[in-house]
Amino acid sequence: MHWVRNGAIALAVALVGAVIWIGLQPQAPELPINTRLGGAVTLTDQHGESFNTAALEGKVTFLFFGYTHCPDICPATLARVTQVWKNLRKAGHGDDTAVVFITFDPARDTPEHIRKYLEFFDPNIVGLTGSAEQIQDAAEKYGVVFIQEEDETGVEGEESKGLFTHSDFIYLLDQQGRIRKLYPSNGDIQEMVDDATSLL
Amino acid sequence: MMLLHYFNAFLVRAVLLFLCALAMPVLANEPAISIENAWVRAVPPVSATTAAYFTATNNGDAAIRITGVSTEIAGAAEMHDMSPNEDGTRSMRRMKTLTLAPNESVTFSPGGMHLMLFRLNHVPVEGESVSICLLADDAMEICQDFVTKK
Ligand SMILES: [Cu+2]
Repeated sequence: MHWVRNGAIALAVALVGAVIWIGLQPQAPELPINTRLGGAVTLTDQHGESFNTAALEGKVTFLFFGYTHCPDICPATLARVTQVWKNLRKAGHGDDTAVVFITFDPARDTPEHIRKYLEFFDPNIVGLTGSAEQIQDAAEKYGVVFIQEEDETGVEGEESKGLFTHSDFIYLLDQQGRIRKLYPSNGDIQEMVDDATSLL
Repeated sequence: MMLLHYFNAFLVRAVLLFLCALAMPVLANEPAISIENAWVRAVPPVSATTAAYFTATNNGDAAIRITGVSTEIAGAAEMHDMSPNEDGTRSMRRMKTLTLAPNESVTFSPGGMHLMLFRLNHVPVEGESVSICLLADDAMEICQDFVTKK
């Protein structure tokens, strides 16, 4: 009967060890659900098709606003989020994740122009444009502020006309389309990968 | 002995003076501003604008006022700064001039000060080098090759 007792002790030791080991794992606190912002929006994608972001339910999505004539922040954000997506794909999460870019410059960002622009980063990024009302609605839902520089002859000079002053957060949406986290446009790539993975 | 000593000291001074005179034109030719880490952001071929970044140091002993930017690949180029607003947005503001005090160094970097290149007539590809010139007072022109990077 000795082996039974020894076996039982060994099992108990293993169980206790396992419990301690699990307890010691860094447990990331669950990302809170933002109940104030977000929601599905209907716009037009880069192929000219109507696109409702509810179609992304079931996927963890990175969403952000910008415009293609943006010289500094927007291309950097696109490059960053593209890298995040690449890393997620490498980890086998390519089919469970998505990236969405919404323009607030529909006059210049036609579906065709957005398609060409996004090809440089990743043609699978969903690029959305729409009517001024649709874009305003989307921006309001996500708490995005954008103001186009109007002055032609003002102190800012002719060239600044058409530039936007805008908020530049990156939103992490869970599989139900709820906002779970906001990142600055220069957010940490590994942090975004880890957060997205935690929602899958 | 005393005399020889005096003569040696004189010789040393003469040699030093001579070397200084030799070095003078070299120093004068050296640009007072040095530019490092110069790069242009690689953007999609359909882009109309891009931005460029660098670190500039004034090595001279007089202040230098930068008054403009020019490059062949853009219809216009400007110095910009980026400043946060109360509502969480950020605004780009044109800087018409930028003065560098002696020994002062400034860094243009993403999300901060940057060179804006408007109306691109050529969109440089990754790895391509682009000449961009900073214009300063007294018709000084400081041109530098900027490498195109993502
Ligand atoms: Cu700018």
